[in-house]
Amino acid sequence: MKTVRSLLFVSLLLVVILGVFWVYYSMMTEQENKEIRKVSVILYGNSSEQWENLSQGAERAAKDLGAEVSLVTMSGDNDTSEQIGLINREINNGANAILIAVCNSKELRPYLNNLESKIPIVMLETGIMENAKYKCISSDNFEMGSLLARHIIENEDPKVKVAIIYDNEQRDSVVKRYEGFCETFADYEDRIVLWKRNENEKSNKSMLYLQRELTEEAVDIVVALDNTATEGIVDAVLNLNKSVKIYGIGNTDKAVSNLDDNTITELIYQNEFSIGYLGMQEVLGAVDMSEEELQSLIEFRAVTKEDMYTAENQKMLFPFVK
Amino acid sequence: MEFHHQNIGQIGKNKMSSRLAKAYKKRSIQLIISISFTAVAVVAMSFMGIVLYTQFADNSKNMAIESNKQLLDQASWNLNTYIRSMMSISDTMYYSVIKNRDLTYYPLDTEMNLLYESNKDNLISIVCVTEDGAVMAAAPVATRKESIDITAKDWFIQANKEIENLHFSTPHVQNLFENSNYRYYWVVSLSRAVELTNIGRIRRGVLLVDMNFNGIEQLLSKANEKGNGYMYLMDQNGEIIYHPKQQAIYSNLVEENNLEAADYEDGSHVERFNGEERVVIIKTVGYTGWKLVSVTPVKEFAINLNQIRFFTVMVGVVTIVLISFGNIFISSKVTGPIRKLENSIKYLEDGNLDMDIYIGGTHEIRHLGKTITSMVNQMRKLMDEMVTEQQEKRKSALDALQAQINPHFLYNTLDSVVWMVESERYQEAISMVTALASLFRISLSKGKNVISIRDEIAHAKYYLEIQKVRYKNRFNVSIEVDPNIEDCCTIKLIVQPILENAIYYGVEYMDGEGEILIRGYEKDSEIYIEISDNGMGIPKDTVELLLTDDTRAHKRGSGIGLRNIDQRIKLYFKGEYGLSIKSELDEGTMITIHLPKIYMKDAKEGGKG
Repeated sequence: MKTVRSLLFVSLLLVVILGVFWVYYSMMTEQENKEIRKVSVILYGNSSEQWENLSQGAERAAKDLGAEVSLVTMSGDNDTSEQIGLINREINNGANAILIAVCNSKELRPYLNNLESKIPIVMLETGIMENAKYKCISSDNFEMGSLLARHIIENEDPKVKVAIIYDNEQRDSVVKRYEGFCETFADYEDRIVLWKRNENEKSNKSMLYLQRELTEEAVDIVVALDNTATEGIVDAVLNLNKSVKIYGIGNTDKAVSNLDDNTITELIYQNEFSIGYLGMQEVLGAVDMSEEELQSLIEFRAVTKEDMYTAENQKMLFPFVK
Repeated sequence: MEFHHQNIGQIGKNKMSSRLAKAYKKRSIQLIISISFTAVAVVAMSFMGIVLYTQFADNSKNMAIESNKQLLDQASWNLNTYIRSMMSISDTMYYSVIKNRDLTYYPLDTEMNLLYESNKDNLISIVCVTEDGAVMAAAPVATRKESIDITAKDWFIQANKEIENLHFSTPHVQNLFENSNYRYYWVVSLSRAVELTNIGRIRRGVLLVDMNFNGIEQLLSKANEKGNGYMYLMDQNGEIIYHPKQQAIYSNLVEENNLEAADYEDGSHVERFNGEERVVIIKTVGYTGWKLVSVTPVKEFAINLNQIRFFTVMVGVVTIVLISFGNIFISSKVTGPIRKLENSIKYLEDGNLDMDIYIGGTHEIRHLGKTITSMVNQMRKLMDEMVTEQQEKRKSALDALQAQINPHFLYNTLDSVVWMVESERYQEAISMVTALASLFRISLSKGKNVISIRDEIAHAKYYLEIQKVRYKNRFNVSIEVDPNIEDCCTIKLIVQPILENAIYYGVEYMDGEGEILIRGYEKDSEIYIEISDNGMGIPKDTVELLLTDDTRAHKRGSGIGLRNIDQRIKLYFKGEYGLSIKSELDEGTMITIHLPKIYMKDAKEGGKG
C-alpha cells in the first residue's frame, strides 16, 4: 500500500514537472513559429510604376503588421479572365489575404461575389459597384469628378467646349468620377462632348483614338478621368502640337511632370499611398472602419503648376518612398 | 444603506474566515504542516520572484535605453560626418575657388564640376547664383526652369538673412532645372551667402549645395534596423526631416509627437502619446540644429521581458511543486509516528487495554508512547483490583444472604425437637435431629456456595422430612428429578426457601390434601427445577411484586424472599437465569428455577458462570 502511494506520488510529481515543461516548450516554439501572413496585391495594368505609391503604402502597412506582400500585375489593362486567373492562382498559392484593384467592375462582380474562398479580400481604388461582398477602399471618386468640374467652371470662360474622355468605363471609379463631373457641370451640359472609342479602336492605345478625336473635333478643354486617359491625351496633344487645356485625374510621375511643364492645366491627385496602407490594414484586420470612414482618410488634391511645389503638395506629388 | 451592506459583507467575511479556521483546525497535523510550509514557500518564492523580476526588468530596460542611446550617438556621429563632408564641399567651393578669383575671367564651372563628380553619390547639384537670382554656375550642367524665381526660394532668403552662417533646409523637391525623364529629387539644401568678384567688383551671391536626401535617409534607415523602437530626425522647429514612416505621416495615417518633442532637451524623456507610454531620447546634431529622436514604446521592453517573466513564473511553479511534494514527504515522515501513536490509542478508546501502544519516532513521541503505556498498565492494574474487590463484595453479600436462613429454621426445628422430647417421642426426635444434622452438613458444604443438584435436592428432602414431622403430614411431597442433571451444579439453598414458602403460603392449611411437586429436568441444554403446589395461589398483583419489590415485609417464614434467591442465581450465573412464578388463585403456584447446565467438575467456585 505504502509503495503504491509513493509510486503514485512520484509519478504525479513527474507528470506535473513534465506538464510544466511541455507548456513552456510549446509556448516558446509558438513564439518562434508565429506565422507570417502572405497578402497578394493584384492590380490591373501592366506597369508597376502606375501603382508605385499604392504598393509602397501596402508594403509599409504590411511591414508594420508583420505580413509579406506579393505584388501581381497583369499583362494588359482590361483582361477579366486573366485577372480571375490571377486571383485563383494566388488563392491556390496560399495567400492569406488579397487586395485587388479590379480591371472590370461589372465582369468581376459575379465571380467575386460567388467566390467560395474564406480569405479576406479588400478592393482598392476600383470596386465592383453595388451589392459588393467586399469593402472597397478608394478616395471619393464622385467628389473628384465634381471638383474638376467646379474648377473648370470657376477658372475658364463659360463658352468653352469641353470634351470628356469616356474610356475605361468598365471601372466603377471612372464611372463615379464621370457622374460627379456631369452633375456639377449640368448647367453647361450642351458644351460637353463625349470622346468614346469606336468599335474598331477597342484594342488601340488611348493616345491613338484621342489623336483622332483631337483632329476631328476642336475643343478648348479635355477632361481625363484616369491615369491612362490623362497620359493618352497628353501624348496626343504633344504629338499633334495642339493647344488644348487638360484637366485630368492621375497620379503618375509623368502626369506630375506634365503638370510642371504646363501640358496639364490642373491635376487631381489622390493619395494612393493611403489607399494601399489602409487597404492592407483593413485586409489584415488591423482597423475596422466603414467604407465611408476609410474614404474620408484618403486625401486628394487639385494641383496646378503654381502650387505644386508648396510644402504640402510636394509631399503628396513627389512621394518620399522611392 | 451602504453601511448596512458593508456590515453584511463584514459578517460574511467573518463567517468565511471562522469557517476556514475551523476547517484548518479539523485537518490532520500532516496536512497543516504541508499546507503551512507550502504557503510560506509560495509567499517567499513569489516575493523573491517579484523582486528579482523587477530588478531584472529595470536592468534590462536601462540596458535597452543605454543601447538605444549608443545607437543614437552612432547615428548622430554618422550624420555629423555626412553633414561635415557637405559643409566641406561648400567651404572648398567658396574659400578655395569663389573667393580667390574674378569670376568674369575665371569661371567656376571646371572646379564645380570636379567637386560635383567626386561627391556625386551624395550630391544632386552645386549652384552658385547672384544676388538677383541669376545662375552663375551649376554642376551638373542643366537648363534652368524658366518660371522659377530663385530669389523667392527659402534657401536663398535664409542665406541672405544671416550671411555669416551656413543654412540647412528641410527636405524639399529640387525645382531648379528641367528634367527629362520625370525624375525628381528630394534634397536638403545647404546654402550660404558668398562674395562674388566680377571685374574687381564684389557683390553678394548665394552658394547652394543640394544634398541628396537619399543619403540621409539611407544612413538613418540603416540605424533603424538595429535596436528597439525607431529613430527619426527633425529640424529645430519639429518639422520632420526623416522618419521611417514619413509618407504615412505625410498622408495623416500615422501620427508622431514631433512638435512636442522639439521642445525637449537632449537626453531621455518618458512621454505619453496616443495612449502609449514611450521612452524618447533626444540628441541634437551639430551645425544644423536638427534633432535625432529615438522612440521606444515601453510596451516593446515588455515584449522582450515576456519570455523572462514566463521563465520566472515557470521556475517558480516548478519549485513550488517540488517544495510542496517535499513538504508532503517531510510532513508524512514527521507525523507518521504521531499517526501510529494515535491509531494505537484509538483501540484504547474502544476499551481494549491489551493493545500494544506504539513506541517509536522522535524522542518526544517515544516519550509520549512510553507514558501512555505506563498509564495504561496502571489503569489495567487498577481495573483488575476493582474487579477483584467487586467480586469479594459480592461474595460476602451472598454469604450474608445464605446466613440469613439458618437461625429461623434452626430455632423452629429445635423448638420441634424440644417439643418431641417433652412428649417423649424420642424416635421422632432422633430422626429429626439426624435430618437436621444432614441438612446442616449440606448447608455448610465445607463453605462452598456451589453444590450439586443431588445435594440440593437431598437438602430439600431433609428439610421436608423435618417439616413433615412438624406439620404432621398435612401435605404430600413428590420429587421427580432427572438423574442426568443430578451431577450438575447449582448454588446451594435455593430449593429449600421455595419449599418453605410453599408450605407456609400454599399447603399449611390444606389438611392432608396439600401437594408439593419438585421436578428437575433438562431442556435445551439448560436446567429447570419446578416447585409447584396446589395451594390457594398468589394474587396477580402480588406475583408481579414478588421478584421486584425489595421492601415487602414477610409476614411469616424464613424471611428469605423469592427475590433473594433470584438475585443469588443472577449474581452467580448472570444473564437470563433466575426464578419465574406462575400462580392461579385457588389452583396453586409453580415456581421455576432456571439454571445453566454446568457439571460440577466444570464448575469453578466463585460464581463465574
